[in-house]
Amino acid sequence: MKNLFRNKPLLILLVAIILLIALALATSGSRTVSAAESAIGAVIGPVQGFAARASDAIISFFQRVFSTTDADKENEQLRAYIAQLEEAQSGVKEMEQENARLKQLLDYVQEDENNAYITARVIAKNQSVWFDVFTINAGRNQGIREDMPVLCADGLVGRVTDVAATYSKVTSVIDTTSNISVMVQRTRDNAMARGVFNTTKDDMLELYYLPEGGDLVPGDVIVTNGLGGVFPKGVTVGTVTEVSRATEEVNVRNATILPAVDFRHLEEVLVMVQTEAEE
Amino acid sequence: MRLKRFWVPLIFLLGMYFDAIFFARVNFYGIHPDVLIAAMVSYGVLMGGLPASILGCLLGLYMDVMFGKVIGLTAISYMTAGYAGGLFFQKFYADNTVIPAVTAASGQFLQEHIMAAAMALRGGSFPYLLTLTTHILPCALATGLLCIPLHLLMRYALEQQTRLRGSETHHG
Repeated sequence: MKNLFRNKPLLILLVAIILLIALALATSGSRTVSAAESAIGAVIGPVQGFAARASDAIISFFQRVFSTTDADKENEQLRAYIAQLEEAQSGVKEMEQENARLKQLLDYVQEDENNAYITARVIAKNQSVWFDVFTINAGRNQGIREDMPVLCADGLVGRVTDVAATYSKVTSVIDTTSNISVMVQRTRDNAMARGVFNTTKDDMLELYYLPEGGDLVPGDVIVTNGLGGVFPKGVTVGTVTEVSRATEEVNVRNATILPAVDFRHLEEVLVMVQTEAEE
Repeated sequence: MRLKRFWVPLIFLLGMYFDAIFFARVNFYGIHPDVLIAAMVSYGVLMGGLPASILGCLLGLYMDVMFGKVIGLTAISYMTAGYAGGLFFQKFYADNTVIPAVTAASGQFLQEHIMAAAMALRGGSFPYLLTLTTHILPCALATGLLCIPLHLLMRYALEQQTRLRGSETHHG
Protein backbone atom coordinates (compact mmCIF):
# COMPACT_ATOMS: atom_id res chain seq x y z
CA MET A 1 0.00 0.00 0.00
CA LYS A 2 2.91 2.32 0.78
CA ASN A 3 4.31 1.66 -2.68
CA LEU A 4 1.02 2.75 -4.18
CA PHE A 5 1.23 6.15 -2.48
CA ARG A 6 4.85 6.55 -3.57
CA ASN A 7 3.95 5.88 -7.20
CA LYS A 8 2.62 9.34 -8.02
CA PRO A 9 1.68 8.73 -11.68
CA LEU A 10 -0.36 5.67 -10.70
CA LEU A 11 -2.00 7.62 -7.90
CA ILE A 12 -2.92 10.44 -10.30
CA LEU A 13 -4.28 7.89 -12.76
CA LEU A 14 -6.46 6.30 -10.06
CA VAL A 15 -7.79 9.69 -8.92
CA ALA A 16 -8.53 10.62 -12.54
CA ILE A 17 -10.36 7.32 -13.04
CA ILE A 18 -12.47 7.92 -9.93
CA LEU A 19 -13.34 11.43 -11.16
CA LEU A 20 -14.25 10.10 -14.59
CA ILE A 21 -16.45 7.40 -13.04
CA ALA A 22 -18.23 10.15 -11.07
CA LEU A 23 -18.65 12.09 -14.32
CA ALA A 24 -20.01 8.98 -16.04
CA LEU A 25 -22.56 8.45 -13.26
CA ALA A 26 -23.61 12.09 -13.41
CA THR A 27 -24.10 12.06 -17.17
CA SER A 28 -25.67 8.65 -17.66
CA GLY A 29 -29.28 9.88 -17.92
CA SER A 30 -31.04 12.18 -20.39
CA ARG A 31 -29.70 15.70 -20.11
CA THR A 32 -29.21 19.06 -21.72
CA VAL A 33 -25.66 19.30 -22.96
CA SER A 34 -23.43 21.93 -21.31
CA ALA A 35 -22.32 25.13 -23.09
CA ALA A 36 -18.75 23.85 -23.45
CA GLU A 37 -19.92 20.63 -25.10
CA SER A 38 -22.24 22.62 -27.37
CA ALA A 39 -19.38 24.89 -28.40
CA ILE A 40 -17.18 21.91 -29.31
CA GLY A 41 -20.05 20.40 -31.25
CA ALA A 42 -20.76 23.64 -33.10
CA VAL A 43 -17.16 23.78 -34.30
CA ILE A 44 -16.73 20.10 -35.11
CA GLY A 45 -20.29 19.32 -36.26
CA PRO A 46 -19.97 20.56 -39.85
CA VAL A 47 -16.67 18.69 -40.25
CA GLN A 48 -18.34 15.54 -38.96
CA GLY A 49 -21.25 15.99 -41.32
CA PHE A 50 -18.86 16.32 -44.23
CA ALA A 51 -16.84 13.29 -43.10
CA ALA A 52 -20.01 11.22 -42.74
CA ARG A 53 -21.14 12.14 -46.26
CA ALA A 54 -17.69 11.37 -47.65
CA SER A 55 -17.77 7.95 -45.93
CA ASP A 56 -21.18 7.17 -47.38
CA ALA A 57 -19.95 8.07 -50.85
CA ILE A 58 -16.83 5.89 -50.47
CA ILE A 59 -18.85 2.97 -49.10
CA SER A 60 -21.46 3.14 -51.87
CA PHE A 61 -18.68 3.33 -54.47
CA PHE A 62 -17.03 0.15 -53.13
CA GLN A 63 -20.41 -1.57 -52.87
CA ARG A 64 -20.97 -0.89 -56.55
CA VAL A 65 -17.47 -2.04 -57.47
CA PHE A 66 -17.73 -5.26 -55.45
CA SER A 67 -21.14 -6.02 -56.90
CA THR A 68 -19.47 -6.34 -60.32
CA THR A 69 -16.58 -8.60 -59.32
CA ASP A 70 -18.38 -11.91 -59.91
CA ALA A 71 -18.51 -11.30 -63.66
CA ASP A 72 -17.34 -13.84 -66.20
CA LYS A 73 -13.77 -13.41 -67.36
CA GLU A 74 -14.97 -12.71 -70.89
CA ASN A 75 -16.98 -9.76 -69.68
CA GLU A 76 -14.39 -8.52 -67.24
CA GLN A 77 -13.19 -5.62 -69.33
CA LEU A 78 -16.68 -4.62 -70.25
CA ARG A 79 -17.77 -4.72 -66.66
CA ALA A 80 -14.72 -2.72 -65.61
CA TYR A 81 -15.78 -0.13 -68.15
CA ILE A 82 -19.28 -0.13 -66.68
CA ALA A 83 -17.79 0.27 -63.22
CA GLN A 84 -15.85 3.28 -64.50
CA LEU A 85 -19.03 4.75 -65.91
CA GLU A 86 -20.78 4.09 -62.66
CA GLU A 87 -17.96 5.78 -60.80
CA ALA A 88 -18.35 8.80 -63.06
CA GLN A 89 -22.04 8.85 -62.30
CA SER A 90 -21.57 8.16 -58.60
CA GLY A 91 -22.05 11.81 -57.68
CA VAL A 92 -25.34 11.91 -59.55
CA LYS A 93 -26.45 8.58 -58.11
CA GLU A 94 -25.57 9.68 -54.60
CA MET A 95 -27.78 12.72 -55.05
CA GLU A 96 -30.56 10.65 -56.59
CA GLN A 97 -30.47 8.24 -53.66
CA GLU A 98 -30.51 11.11 -51.21
CA ASN A 99 -33.44 12.67 -53.06
CA ALA A 100 -35.33 9.37 -52.92
CA ARG A 101 -34.74 9.04 -49.18
CA LEU A 102 -35.76 12.65 -48.54
CA LYS A 103 -38.86 12.21 -50.71
CA GLN A 104 -39.82 9.20 -48.62
CA LEU A 105 -39.47 11.31 -45.48
CA LEU A 106 -41.44 14.14 -47.08
CA ASP A 107 -44.24 11.76 -48.04
CA TYR A 108 -44.36 10.55 -44.47
CA VAL A 109 -44.53 14.11 -43.13
CA GLN A 110 -47.23 15.10 -45.63
CA GLU A 111 -49.34 12.09 -44.69
CA ASP A 112 -49.18 13.09 -41.05
CA GLU A 113 -50.53 16.63 -41.03
CA ASN A 114 -51.21 16.65 -37.30
CA ASN A 115 -47.58 16.64 -36.19
CA ALA A 116 -44.60 18.87 -36.93
CA TYR A 117 -41.23 17.40 -37.88
CA ILE A 118 -37.64 18.46 -38.34
CA THR A 119 -35.44 16.56 -40.76
CA ALA A 120 -31.93 15.80 -39.52
CA ARG A 121 -28.93 13.97 -40.86
CA VAL A 122 -27.13 11.24 -38.95
CA ILE A 123 -23.57 12.54 -38.59
CA ALA A 124 -21.98 9.98 -36.26
CA LYS A 125 -22.65 6.77 -34.40
CA ASN A 126 -21.35 5.42 -31.13
CA GLN A 127 -18.22 3.45 -31.94
CA SER A 128 -19.00 0.54 -29.63
CA VAL A 129 -21.66 -2.14 -29.95
CA TRP A 130 -22.69 -1.73 -26.32
CA PHE A 131 -24.83 1.34 -26.81
CA ASP A 132 -26.95 2.16 -29.82
CA VAL A 133 -26.65 5.90 -29.85
CA PHE A 134 -26.14 8.20 -32.80
CA THR A 135 -25.65 11.92 -33.32
CA ILE A 136 -27.84 14.08 -35.56
CA ASN A 137 -27.06 17.53 -36.92
CA ALA A 138 -29.99 19.34 -35.29
CA GLY A 139 -30.17 20.61 -31.74
CA ARG A 140 -31.69 23.16 -29.41
CA ASN A 141 -31.33 25.95 -32.01
CA GLN A 142 -33.56 23.98 -34.38
CA GLY A 143 -36.18 23.36 -31.69
CA ILE A 144 -35.11 19.89 -30.57
CA ARG A 145 -35.79 18.98 -26.94
CA GLU A 146 -35.08 15.94 -24.77
CA ASP A 147 -37.36 12.94 -25.16
CA MET A 148 -38.68 13.98 -28.56
CA PRO A 149 -39.52 10.94 -30.69
CA VAL A 150 -37.33 10.23 -33.70
CA LEU A 151 -38.78 8.46 -36.74
CA CYS A 152 -38.08 7.70 -40.35
CA ALA A 153 -40.33 6.68 -43.22
CA ASP A 154 -40.10 3.00 -42.18
CA GLY A 155 -41.03 3.46 -38.53
CA LEU A 156 -39.79 4.31 -35.05
CA VAL A 157 -36.09 5.08 -34.66
CA GLY A 158 -35.74 6.18 -31.02
CA ARG A 159 -35.82 9.25 -28.82
CA VAL A 160 -33.63 12.27 -28.25
CA THR A 161 -31.60 11.84 -25.07
CA ASP A 162 -28.96 14.61 -25.12
CA VAL A 163 -29.50 18.03 -26.67
CA ALA A 164 -26.78 20.53 -27.53
CA ALA A 165 -27.16 23.81 -29.44
CA THR A 166 -26.41 22.39 -32.88
CA TYR A 167 -26.53 18.62 -32.45
CA SER A 168 -28.40 15.98 -30.46
CA LYS A 169 -27.87 12.39 -29.49
CA VAL A 170 -30.56 9.84 -30.19
CA THR A 171 -30.89 6.56 -28.30
CA SER A 172 -32.39 4.09 -30.74
CA VAL A 173 -35.13 1.62 -29.85
CA ILE A 174 -32.69 -1.29 -30.33
CA ASP A 175 -30.48 -0.04 -27.48
CA THR A 176 -30.62 -2.51 -24.58
CA THR A 177 -31.55 0.24 -22.16
CA SER A 178 -34.50 1.33 -24.28
CA ASN A 179 -38.00 0.25 -23.21
CA ILE A 180 -41.05 1.24 -25.21
CA SER A 181 -44.72 0.67 -24.68
CA VAL A 182 -46.20 -1.07 -27.72
CA MET A 183 -49.19 -3.04 -28.94
CA VAL A 184 -49.92 -5.74 -31.47
CA GLN A 185 -51.60 -3.96 -34.36
CA ARG A 186 -53.98 -6.85 -35.14
CA THR A 187 -55.13 -7.80 -31.63
CA ARG A 188 -54.52 -4.43 -29.86
CA ASP A 189 -52.78 -6.35 -27.02
CA ASN A 190 -50.40 -4.08 -25.09
CA ALA A 191 -46.83 -5.13 -24.29
CA MET A 192 -43.35 -3.75 -23.80
CA ALA A 193 -40.45 -3.91 -26.25
CA ARG A 194 -36.75 -3.51 -25.56
CA GLY A 195 -33.51 -3.77 -27.49
CA VAL A 196 -31.52 -6.98 -27.50
CA PHE A 197 -27.74 -6.96 -27.23
CA ASN A 198 -26.55 -8.84 -30.25
CA THR A 199 -23.21 -8.99 -31.98
CA THR A 200 -23.76 -11.95 -34.25
CA LYS A 201 -27.22 -11.46 -35.77
CA ASP A 202 -29.29 -8.62 -37.15
CA ASP A 203 -30.68 -5.91 -34.91
CA MET A 204 -33.58 -7.18 -32.85
CA LEU A 205 -36.08 -6.21 -30.18
CA GLU A 206 -37.81 -8.45 -27.71
CA LEU A 207 -41.46 -8.23 -26.83
CA TYR A 208 -42.42 -8.94 -23.23
CA TYR A 209 -45.27 -8.45 -20.76
CA LEU A 210 -47.76 -9.59 -23.37
CA PRO A 211 -51.04 -10.57 -21.63
CA GLU A 212 -51.48 -14.27 -20.92
CA GLY A 213 -53.40 -16.01 -23.65
CA GLY A 214 -52.73 -13.18 -26.07
CA ASP A 215 -52.82 -14.16 -29.70
CA LEU A 216 -49.51 -13.50 -31.38
CA VAL A 217 -48.13 -15.02 -34.57
CA PRO A 218 -45.03 -14.40 -36.67
CA GLY A 219 -45.75 -11.61 -39.11
CA ASP A 220 -47.79 -9.55 -36.66
CA VAL A 221 -46.95 -5.87 -36.85
CA ILE A 222 -46.00 -4.14 -33.61
CA VAL A 223 -46.80 -0.45 -33.23
CA THR A 224 -46.45 2.07 -30.42
CA ASN A 225 -49.50 2.37 -28.17
CA GLY A 226 -48.95 5.98 -27.12
CA LEU A 227 -48.64 5.16 -23.42
CA GLY A 228 -45.76 6.71 -21.52
CA GLY A 229 -46.04 10.10 -23.19
CA VAL A 230 -42.89 9.91 -25.30
CA PHE A 231 -43.88 8.12 -28.49
CA PRO A 232 -47.05 8.90 -30.45
CA LYS A 233 -49.57 6.14 -30.99
CA GLY A 234 -49.51 3.93 -34.07
CA VAL A 235 -45.90 4.26 -35.24
CA THR A 236 -44.54 0.98 -36.64
CA VAL A 237 -41.86 -0.60 -34.47
CA GLY A 238 -41.34 -3.87 -36.30
CA THR A 239 -42.64 -7.30 -37.23
CA VAL A 240 -42.80 -10.41 -35.06
CA THR A 241 -40.41 -13.06 -36.36
CA GLU A 242 -40.47 -15.65 -33.59
CA VAL A 243 -42.89 -16.36 -30.76
CA SER A 244 -41.73 -18.14 -27.60
CA ARG A 245 -43.78 -18.40 -24.45
CA ALA A 246 -42.67 -19.42 -20.96
CA THR A 247 -45.42 -18.23 -18.66
CA GLU A 248 -43.97 -19.48 -15.37
CA GLU A 249 -41.30 -16.81 -15.24
CA VAL A 250 -42.23 -13.30 -14.30
CA ASN A 251 -40.16 -11.52 -16.93
CA VAL A 252 -41.00 -13.80 -19.83
CA ARG A 253 -39.80 -13.26 -23.35
CA ASN A 254 -42.78 -13.40 -25.58
CA ALA A 255 -41.48 -12.72 -29.01
CA THR A 256 -38.66 -11.48 -31.15
CA ILE A 257 -39.27 -8.43 -33.31
CA LEU A 258 -37.38 -7.45 -36.41
CA PRO A 259 -37.26 -3.64 -36.36
CA ALA A 260 -38.97 -1.87 -39.25
CA VAL A 261 -36.02 0.51 -39.54
CA ASP A 262 -32.71 -0.54 -41.07
CA PHE A 263 -30.46 0.95 -38.40
CA ARG A 264 -27.29 0.03 -40.26
CA HIS A 265 -28.18 2.27 -43.17
CA LEU A 266 -29.90 5.12 -41.42
CA GLU A 267 -28.87 8.45 -42.92
CA GLU A 268 -31.71 10.91 -42.37
CA VAL A 269 -34.33 10.97 -39.65
CA LEU A 270 -37.39 12.97 -38.63
CA VAL A 271 -37.65 14.46 -35.17
CA MET A 272 -41.24 14.97 -34.10
CA VAL A 273 -41.12 18.43 -32.55
CA GLN A 274 -44.85 18.85 -31.98
CA THR A 275 -47.34 16.11 -31.35
CA GLU A 276 -51.14 16.26 -31.61
CA ALA A 277 -51.43 16.38 -27.84
CA GLU A 278 -49.31 19.52 -27.59
CA GLU A 279 -51.33 21.55 -30.07
CA MET B 1 11.16 16.85 -42.68
CA ARG B 2 9.11 19.73 -41.26
CA LEU B 3 5.94 18.00 -42.36
CA LYS B 4 6.75 15.21 -39.92
CA ARG B 5 5.46 17.27 -37.00
CA PHE B 6 1.97 17.07 -38.50
CA TRP B 7 2.02 13.30 -38.68
CA VAL B 8 1.09 12.64 -35.05
CA PRO B 9 -1.93 15.00 -34.99
CA LEU B 10 -2.92 13.54 -38.36
CA ILE B 11 -2.73 9.99 -36.99
CA PHE B 12 -4.98 10.93 -34.07
CA LEU B 13 -7.40 12.86 -36.33
CA LEU B 14 -7.63 9.90 -38.68
CA GLY B 15 -8.10 7.65 -35.65
CA MET B 16 -11.06 9.77 -34.56
CA TYR B 17 -12.53 9.65 -38.04
CA PHE B 18 -12.12 5.88 -38.32
CA ASP B 19 -13.44 5.11 -34.83
CA ALA B 20 -16.43 7.45 -34.88
CA ILE B 21 -17.52 7.48 -38.49
CA PHE B 22 -15.90 4.88 -40.70
CA PHE B 23 -15.95 1.80 -38.44
CA ALA B 24 -19.45 2.68 -37.25
CA ARG B 25 -20.51 2.06 -40.85
CA VAL B 26 -18.01 -0.54 -42.02
CA ASN B 27 -17.44 -3.46 -39.68
CA PHE B 28 -17.86 -7.19 -39.49
CA TYR B 29 -20.79 -7.84 -37.16
CA GLY B 30 -19.60 -5.04 -34.93
CA ILE B 31 -15.98 -6.27 -34.93
CA HIS B 32 -13.46 -3.56 -35.73
CA PRO B 33 -10.17 -2.33 -34.30
CA ASP B 34 -9.99 0.75 -32.11
CA VAL B 35 -7.47 2.99 -33.86
CA LEU B 36 -7.21 5.49 -31.02
CA ILE B 37 -6.39 2.82 -28.41
CA ALA B 38 -3.65 1.48 -30.67
CA ALA B 39 -2.36 5.01 -31.30
CA MET B 40 -2.50 5.89 -27.61
CA VAL B 41 -0.51 2.82 -26.57
CA SER B 42 2.05 3.43 -29.27
CA TYR B 43 2.37 7.09 -28.21
CA GLY B 44 2.79 5.99 -24.58
CA VAL B 45 5.54 3.51 -25.48
CA LEU B 46 7.44 6.14 -27.46
CA MET B 47 6.79 9.30 -25.44
CA GLY B 48 6.04 8.13 -21.91
CA GLY B 49 2.97 7.53 -19.77
CA LEU B 50 2.24 11.09 -18.65
CA PRO B 51 1.77 12.79 -22.04
CA ALA B 52 -0.04 9.71 -23.36
CA SER B 53 -2.42 9.61 -20.36
CA ILE B 54 -3.24 13.31 -20.65
CA LEU B 55 -3.77 13.03 -24.40
CA GLY B 56 -5.83 9.87 -23.87
CA CYS B 57 -8.01 11.54 -21.27
CA LEU B 58 -8.66 14.59 -23.48
CA LEU B 59 -9.33 12.61 -26.64
CA GLY B 60 -11.50 10.15 -24.75
CA LEU B 61 -13.55 12.97 -23.27
CA TYR B 62 -14.00 14.47 -26.72
CA MET B 63 -15.14 11.11 -28.14
CA ASP B 64 -17.55 10.69 -25.23
CA VAL B 65 -18.98 14.17 -25.61
CA MET B 66 -19.49 13.85 -29.34
CA PHE B 67 -20.42 10.22 -29.81
CA GLY B 68 -20.78 8.42 -26.50
CA LYS B 69 -23.78 7.59 -24.40
CA VAL B 70 -22.03 8.11 -21.07
CA ILE B 71 -19.27 10.70 -20.65
CA GLY B 72 -16.04 9.47 -19.10
CA LEU B 73 -15.93 5.81 -20.11
CA THR B 74 -13.87 6.18 -23.28
CA ALA B 75 -11.67 8.69 -21.46
CA ILE B 76 -10.88 6.05 -18.80
CA SER B 77 -9.95 3.47 -21.43
CA TYR B 78 -7.77 5.80 -23.51
CA MET B 79 -6.08 7.24 -20.46
CA THR B 80 -5.34 3.77 -19.09
CA ALA B 81 -4.10 2.63 -22.51
CA GLY B 82 -1.71 5.60 -22.67
CA TYR B 83 -0.50 4.90 -19.13
CA ALA B 84 -0.04 1.19 -19.89
CA GLY B 85 1.98 2.05 -23.00
CA GLY B 86 4.10 4.38 -20.87
CA LEU B 87 5.06 1.51 -18.57
CA PHE B 88 7.28 0.26 -21.41
CA PHE B 89 8.73 3.69 -22.23
CA GLN B 90 12.48 3.37 -22.86
CA LYS B 91 12.50 -0.14 -21.45
CA PHE B 92 12.49 -1.89 -24.80
CA TYR B 93 13.78 -1.10 -28.25
CA ALA B 94 11.44 1.18 -30.14
CA ASP B 95 11.54 -1.44 -32.94
CA ASN B 96 9.69 -3.88 -30.73
CA THR B 97 6.15 -4.06 -32.08
CA VAL B 98 4.99 -7.03 -30.02
CA ILE B 99 4.77 -5.11 -26.73
CA PRO B 100 2.64 -2.27 -28.12
CA ALA B 101 0.44 -4.80 -29.94
CA VAL B 102 -0.17 -6.87 -26.80
CA THR B 103 -0.75 -3.73 -24.71
CA ALA B 104 -3.20 -2.34 -27.28
CA ALA B 105 -5.10 -5.64 -27.37
CA SER B 106 -5.27 -5.58 -23.55
CA GLY B 107 -6.43 -1.95 -23.69
CA GLN B 108 -9.23 -2.88 -26.05
CA PHE B 109 -10.13 -5.85 -23.83
CA LEU B 110 -10.39 -3.45 -20.88
CA GLN B 111 -12.42 -0.91 -22.83
CA GLU B 112 -14.97 -3.51 -23.90
CA HIS B 113 -15.33 -4.63 -20.29
CA ILE B 114 -15.81 -1.05 -19.09
CA MET B 115 -18.56 -0.56 -21.68
CA ALA B 116 -20.12 -3.92 -20.80
CA ALA B 117 -20.15 -3.02 -17.10
CA ALA B 118 -21.74 0.36 -17.87
CA MET B 119 -24.40 -1.33 -19.99
CA ALA B 120 -25.09 -3.92 -17.29
CA LEU B 121 -25.38 -1.17 -14.66
CA ARG B 122 -27.94 0.59 -16.83
CA GLY B 123 -30.08 -2.52 -16.94
CA GLY B 124 -28.90 -4.12 -20.16
CA SER B 125 -28.12 -7.83 -20.27
CA PHE B 126 -25.89 -9.90 -22.53
CA PRO B 127 -24.45 -13.44 -22.66
CA TYR B 128 -20.91 -12.89 -21.37
CA LEU B 129 -19.10 -15.93 -22.78
CA LEU B 130 -20.69 -15.58 -26.21
CA THR B 131 -19.88 -11.87 -26.30
CA LEU B 132 -16.34 -12.55 -25.12
CA THR B 133 -15.67 -15.03 -27.91
CA THR B 134 -17.60 -13.40 -30.72
CA HIS B 135 -16.92 -9.75 -30.02
CA ILE B 136 -14.47 -8.79 -27.28
CA LEU B 137 -11.57 -11.09 -28.19
CA PRO B 138 -11.81 -10.53 -31.98
CA CYS B 139 -11.90 -6.75 -31.40
CA ALA B 140 -8.88 -6.99 -29.09
CA LEU B 141 -7.04 -9.07 -31.68
CA ALA B 142 -7.89 -6.59 -34.45
CA THR B 143 -6.64 -3.68 -32.33
CA GLY B 144 -3.44 -5.56 -31.49
CA LEU B 145 -2.78 -6.32 -35.15
CA LEU B 146 -3.52 -2.76 -36.21
CA CYS B 147 -1.10 -1.49 -33.58
CA ILE B 148 1.86 -3.12 -35.34
CA PRO B 149 1.87 -0.96 -38.52
CA LEU B 150 0.57 2.01 -36.55
CA HIS B 151 3.46 1.77 -34.11
CA LEU B 152 5.96 1.68 -36.97
CA LEU B 153 4.30 4.78 -38.43
CA MET B 154 4.23 6.51 -35.06
CA ARG B 155 7.86 5.64 -34.43
CA TYR B 156 8.78 7.17 -37.78
CA ALA B 157 6.73 10.29 -37.00
CA LEU B 158 8.24 10.67 -33.53
CA GLU B 159 11.79 9.73 -34.50
CA GLN B 160 13.24 13.10 -33.61
CA GLN B 161 11.37 13.48 -30.32
CA THR B 162 12.22 9.98 -29.13
CA ARG B 163 15.90 10.58 -29.96
CA LEU B 164 15.81 13.85 -28.00
CA ARG B 165 14.09 12.21 -25.06
CA GLY B 166 16.59 9.37 -25.14
CA SER B 167 19.56 11.76 -25.03
CA GLU B 168 17.89 13.79 -22.25
CA THR B 169 17.54 10.63 -20.18
CA HIS B 170 21.15 9.61 -20.78
CA HIS B 171 22.49 13.05 -19.89
CA GLY B 172 20.18 13.36 -16.94
